[in-house]
Amino acid sequence: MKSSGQFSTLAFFMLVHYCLMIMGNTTLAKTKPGNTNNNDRSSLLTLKSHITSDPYNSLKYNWTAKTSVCSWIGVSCGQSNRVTKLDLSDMGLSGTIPPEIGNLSFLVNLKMMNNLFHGPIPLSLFDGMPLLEIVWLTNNSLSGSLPTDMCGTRPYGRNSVGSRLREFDVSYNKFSGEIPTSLERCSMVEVLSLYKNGFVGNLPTGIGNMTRLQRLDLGFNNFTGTIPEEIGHLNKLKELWMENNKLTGPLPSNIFNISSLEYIDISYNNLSESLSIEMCSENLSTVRLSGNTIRGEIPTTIGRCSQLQNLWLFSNTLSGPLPTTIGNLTMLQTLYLGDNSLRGIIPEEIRHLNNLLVLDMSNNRLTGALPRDIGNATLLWGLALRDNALTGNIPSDMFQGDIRTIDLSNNNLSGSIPSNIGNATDLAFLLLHDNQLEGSITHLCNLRVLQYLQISHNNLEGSIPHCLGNSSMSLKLLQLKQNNFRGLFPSTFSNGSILEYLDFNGNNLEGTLPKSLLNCELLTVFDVGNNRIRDVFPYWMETLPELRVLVLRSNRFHGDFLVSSKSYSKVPFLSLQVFDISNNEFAGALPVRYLENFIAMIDLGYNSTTPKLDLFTYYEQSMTFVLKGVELPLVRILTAFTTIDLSGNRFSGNIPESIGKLTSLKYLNLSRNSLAGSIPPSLGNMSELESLDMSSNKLVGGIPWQLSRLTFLSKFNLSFNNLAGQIPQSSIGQFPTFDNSSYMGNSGLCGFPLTKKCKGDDEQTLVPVLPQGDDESDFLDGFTWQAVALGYGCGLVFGTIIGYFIFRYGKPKWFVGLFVSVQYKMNRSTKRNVVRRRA
Amino acid sequence: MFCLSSIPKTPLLSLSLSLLSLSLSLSSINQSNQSITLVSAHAIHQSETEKSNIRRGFVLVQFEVGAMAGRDLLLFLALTIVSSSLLVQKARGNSEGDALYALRRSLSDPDNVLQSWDPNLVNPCTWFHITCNQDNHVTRVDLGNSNLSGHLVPELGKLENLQYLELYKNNIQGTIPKELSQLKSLISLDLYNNNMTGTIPSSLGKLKSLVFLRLNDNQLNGPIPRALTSISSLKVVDVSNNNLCGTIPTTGPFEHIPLNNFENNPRLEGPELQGLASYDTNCS
Repeated sequence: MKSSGQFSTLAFFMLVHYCLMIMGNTTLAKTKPGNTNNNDRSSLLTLKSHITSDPYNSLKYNWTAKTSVCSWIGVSCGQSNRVTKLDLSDMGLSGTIPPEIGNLSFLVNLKMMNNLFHGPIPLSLFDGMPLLEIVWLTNNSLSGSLPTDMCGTRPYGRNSVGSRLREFDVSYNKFSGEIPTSLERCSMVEVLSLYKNGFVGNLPTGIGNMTRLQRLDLGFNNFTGTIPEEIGHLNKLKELWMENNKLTGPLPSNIFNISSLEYIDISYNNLSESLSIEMCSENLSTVRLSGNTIRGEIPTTIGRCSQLQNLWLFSNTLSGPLPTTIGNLTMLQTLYLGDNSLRGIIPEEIRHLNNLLVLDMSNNRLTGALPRDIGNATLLWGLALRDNALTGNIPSDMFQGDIRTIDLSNNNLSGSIPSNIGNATDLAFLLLHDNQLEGSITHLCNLRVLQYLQISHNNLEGSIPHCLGNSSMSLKLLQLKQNNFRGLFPSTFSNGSILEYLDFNGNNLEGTLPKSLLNCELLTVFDVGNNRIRDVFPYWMETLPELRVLVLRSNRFHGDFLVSSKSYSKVPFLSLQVFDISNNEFAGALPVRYLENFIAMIDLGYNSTTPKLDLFTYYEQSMTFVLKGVELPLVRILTAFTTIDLSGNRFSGNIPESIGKLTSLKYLNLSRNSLAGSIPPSLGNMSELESLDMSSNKLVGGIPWQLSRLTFLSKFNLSFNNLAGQIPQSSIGQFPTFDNSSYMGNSGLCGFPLTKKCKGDDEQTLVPVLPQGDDESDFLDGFTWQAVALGYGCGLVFGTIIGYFIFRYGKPKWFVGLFVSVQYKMNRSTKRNVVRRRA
Repeated sequence: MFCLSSIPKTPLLSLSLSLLSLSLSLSSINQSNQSITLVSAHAIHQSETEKSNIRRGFVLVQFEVGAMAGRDLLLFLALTIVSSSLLVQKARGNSEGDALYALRRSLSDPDNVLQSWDPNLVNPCTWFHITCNQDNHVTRVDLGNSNLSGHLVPELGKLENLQYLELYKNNIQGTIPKELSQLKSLISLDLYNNNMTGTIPSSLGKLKSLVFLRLNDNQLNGPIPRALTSISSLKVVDVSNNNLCGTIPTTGPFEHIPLNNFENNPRLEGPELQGLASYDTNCS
């Protein structure tokens, strides 16, 4: 009973199938009816056998010979019991697509998206599956070029009716090669996506024959050449994506004749020439042509694009004024015109753009006042007009509604910050730096969700409101540098603050630093340089775990670093890499405990192995430091940037030997103090050191030869101390590259590059002593012969006395030590010669 | 769905930009009950492939409504975030930075000594191993003992104010670019202990400020160019341990150079004798 039922069902389908074949495609008649299902089964099992990884076992236990093909996962059959749909998407499968897949001759719909298939697309995909309509292979690792014979190998042969292919999407793969010209045969294709592959070459003009195309997506490939005019024939096209290729030439104007066109994105190519006068079509809503070299003016006819919602033309070379007709684009939501050379004023008509969300005209040459009624755009989120030459006041009506970002930085704006700024309750970014704004900022207190306040380089004044401390619950960045703020440092930083960056440099702040700063546990940059703060060193800050930059330079900090033991934290300043306390009134011994324990400067790996993709690493900060004697703005502080500047204080005592532990330190400045004692040889261990300035102290003794190990040292200043002895005469390394300015003002030093010879120098030194002549004035250090003679005289007397004592009392230990060290030096140079001879 | 896309133009920044915009969108766009699905790898790839001369950027936060998975369009409520002054340098670079960056690209740098060489900065003065004068011109390149290999580049000739070129003790190969002769201010050319090949360019005779010329321990061949004898400032010449040929010049500054600074050049025939045969016999 059962078996006869099955038989009859089978017979029925065979009959139907047979009829279908007769009616349909004669090519299939070759296949024996009874085998059709087996054909599908065997081709799917071949496909399965080419799958090398099936992480979720989607097919492993399901695609088996025991069950019917039509019940397999991802397989759908049509009336004929033949496989018509195959959907293996999102199964994490790896492997290749075997040519046998072409035996699925009834397949209509093939979806294998989001897997890891690799290798080429078999030609049989087009050759063997005449009914195929949909091919979605998105997001695999397929490679190779597309088959040269797409959509039918024989245009007048057995597939002469042409391919039925409607959707062909191979985006996010690794295909290469050119688009085969046969593509034009795919005349039924509505969606063609080659997005994010490595296709190259020109766009074939035959694309113009694919007249049913609605979506053409060629973005993120390496296509070159011009955009064929034939694309203008695609009169059903809705979306044209060609971004991030290397296309050149103009944008063919007939593209705008396509009345169905809605989106056009050809940004980041090398398009040139100017925009066509007619750049509207009735349904056009988005035009993105950013990142090209399009020149000329924005045509006034742009005003006719009545449906335009998004106009992105940033990063081109557009010039001329903004057309007033832009006010007609009442549907406009985003307008990006930044990074061009637009001139003139911002037209008043812009107030008609009531649907505007983003207006960005940064980095142009716009002049005049800010648009008055920008507040009409009640939906406005972002307003960016930075880097222009705008003048006048900030209009008060922009502070309302939904606005989140206001960037008016680097203009010539004047007046005060409008008092109603508090109405912009959602404002998160307020960037007004580099203008001529004045007045106080107390009214900023109402901005409850403000995250970034950057108002540096203005003429703002008054006190820094305490509320900024309170609102540090939302504030991450607080940059007020180079203004005229005065009064006390705000003291109300509250618990749970997320403040990361505080820069009050260059104001007139007084008083002391508040310990409530300890509530800012994320504080990374703290710069209060160039103020009038009168305080002891804020040793309590040493517990801030994220602090990387501490700048107290040029204030009235005073006292010594002998803090009470109870305040000691085990590892003070865990993350600190910039320690600048120069030009204050600190006294006493150097802060040895810090110098010994700046972990971030001892082990470079410490910070860099814990990369934080935070604002700190990538933000442009523009902090100024004196590097190698030159004041330089640092726009970004890399984790490897390490500096200690203790110059211009009253430190006394010795330089601790332990300073040599700072093996990741790049810049060390101890100049203009009262340091005494000798230069510790351990400095030779600071292998990253590029700048070492110990000038204007009271250092004595010789220059340790170990410093010649510092192969990156490029600024070396020992001038104006009481050093003596021979300058290390290594012929290799950096020492030969320092001139006498590194050593002047040390009457006891001798040897190259100074003209003063050392006693006992012979002509065989590796660096010959410079002959004296007029043209060598660079190498004269200005020492007079009197000084030299004096030195010789002293040496003579000293030597005689020593000699006397040696003869009289035998060898004093220190003298032997001196001799041994000299011998060691000689050994080194002999060894070098030996090596050379061997080579 | 809610998708992030950035249009970064500074390659290094793209990831952080994406993440930044993500955090921003999280904190500032809470009326959306849609879930965040993707910080697109998109953006990162884009920036990698991008031309290095594009130097500014901003970030967009985009909402994606509907089914166009992975594709950043339909309705977007976009938002510029932060300007050049905060995020991305508005630099146009400069020619000296470009020249040094060309060197960086030509060198292999396993120890990441050149990591700070960011071509987007206004000038190279804050790069590690670079020193500038007060006018922000490069005066020193100090890269001795840095485990560098690869080639020198002709662009180095553009560093008009360079005084010290310290590239000793590396594994640099290839020839000495003749363009180094454009370095009018050069005091020290230290290429010793590398794998340099080819000849010593005679154009180096134009370096009228040169004091130190140390090319020892390389594989240089050919003669010692006589043009060097006209550099009156030259004090130290060391070309030992190469494969030079011909005779050793004895005139001008070479009068005072010790002979062991020429040793271990098997084909070098000893000091030239004035008035006798041309120095470069048997030496090409």
